[in-house]
Amino acid sequence: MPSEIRVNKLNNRSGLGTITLYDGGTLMSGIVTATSFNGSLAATNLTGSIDNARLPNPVVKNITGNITGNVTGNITGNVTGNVTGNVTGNVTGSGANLTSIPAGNLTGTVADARISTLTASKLTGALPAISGASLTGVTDTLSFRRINHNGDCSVAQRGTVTGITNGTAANLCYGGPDRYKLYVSQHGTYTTSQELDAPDGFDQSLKILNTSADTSIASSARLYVQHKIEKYDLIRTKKGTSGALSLTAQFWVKSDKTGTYIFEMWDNQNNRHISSTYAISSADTWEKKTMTFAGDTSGNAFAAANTSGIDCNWWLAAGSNFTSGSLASSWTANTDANRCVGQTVNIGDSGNWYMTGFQLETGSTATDFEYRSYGDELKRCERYFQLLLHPDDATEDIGAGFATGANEVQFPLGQFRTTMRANPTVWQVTGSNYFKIGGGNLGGDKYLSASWNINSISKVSGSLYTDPDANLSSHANQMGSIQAKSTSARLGLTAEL
Amino acid sequence: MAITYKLKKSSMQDTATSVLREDDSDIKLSIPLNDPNNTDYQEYLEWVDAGNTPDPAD
Repeated sequence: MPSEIRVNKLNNRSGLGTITLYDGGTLMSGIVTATSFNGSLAATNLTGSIDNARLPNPVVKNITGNITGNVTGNITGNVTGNVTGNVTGNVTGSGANLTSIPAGNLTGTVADARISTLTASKLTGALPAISGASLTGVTDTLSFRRINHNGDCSVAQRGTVTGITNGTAANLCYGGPDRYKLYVSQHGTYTTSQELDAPDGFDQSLKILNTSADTSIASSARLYVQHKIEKYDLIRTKKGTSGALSLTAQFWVKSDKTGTYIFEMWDNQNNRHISSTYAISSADTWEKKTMTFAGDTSGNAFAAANTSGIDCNWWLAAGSNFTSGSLASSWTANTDANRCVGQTVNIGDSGNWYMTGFQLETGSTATDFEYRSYGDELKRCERYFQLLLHPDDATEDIGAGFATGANEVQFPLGQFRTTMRANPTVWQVTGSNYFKIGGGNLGGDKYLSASWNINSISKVSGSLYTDPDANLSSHANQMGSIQAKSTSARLGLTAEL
Repeated sequence: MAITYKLKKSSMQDTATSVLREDDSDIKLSIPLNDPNNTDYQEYLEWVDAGNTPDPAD
């Protein structure tokens, strides 16, 4: 038969613990010792603090609160909170949310790491030496990236050329730095020169100076600096194939006229073109410009040939015939109206324009300017122009000639310094007593004031002839030295594109 | 701009081998007649095609 004793409170005999029986339940306080508890105890009913609890494996299944002590056993479930202490065991679950791991603590092997968003700013330490033996996808070599010649404007064999205007012969539009031509159509007169004015890293530049203004620009007016590139040098671009490469141009430029300019590339083989605007925002201040043009898969590919492939054109003025359409910002068949849309500057009504540091290369990245030795650059330019005398020397022996008769002196040129692009034209400034033949049996000075003419010529050698001032009948078949006798004399070979 | 072309033949040749171009500038060009890829020669041919005639060789 059940019996009961109803009391309010039981006290330990030593006063170390009490059991209080109240209307809401039983409260034990002080030291409580027990070997087991029966029944279920809801976690929500465990309130207050449990210090230094020793919970043997695998008693704990879910801990939703914080653990501030050490866990020496395994955690087989998920940890959705933060771990601020050290983890010395293995973590075999997902580390998707691991953050702020010091690089110094990543000492093991990270297999198959996928770093897809690593930015350059995160690579702040020193990179170890990395072998390039297994690098793939490298599309070009570091050398010979620059397709164009004389990008630093260091070679200027012709010197300053004045009076370039509408109707000037194509080969007389070259002046100042080699390989740069000023094309003028119905718009002013200009001087081209090499200047000792350049941004850091360069020393010389091309200068275009308007010397006779045309303030009323004709609709058909054109004014641009042109650098023509031979097909031989463009095969690498794969232009006209399905794998056509992008082309990136960079150059430094300055002008006394701010505004928008056009840089254009013109495909001579297919009559296709592409343009990009660039701005000069500060007058008389060097600014670097970079632009990339997508590869052109249309048209015929460039074959190995010594004819003109691509012209790089820096427009300095354009009539409405070239500005009235929509800018050809992708390669397209020629439409004149789309060539120069957006050009706001007109150097033809006064002004100047400087340029240096020009580099055209394949790819979509403007790499550092590729410097070449002066001798190397000169050699490349000599495929298109060779000066046969030094203009600073008042008297210079430039070869040997002979009188073929009373009224003719032959001047064999021998082998050219490099094979020229085409059988060259003889470019010359002649005048009274500018040249002479003398020495040997010819005796004293026999001046040559008339023009030099081609007797025969090829890409590698040739001979000239001229009419002597005096009758040389008494010196027929006699040899003598050919001399330049004036600093105004010029003699060169030109085979520009 | 006045442009003249004059065919030139040396005593060692039977026919003209070059043409001398002169204009208002002080630069003269002796242009070979044996290379179609010479751009001065191309310009000369355009001048001829336009109805002009060079001065004959002496």
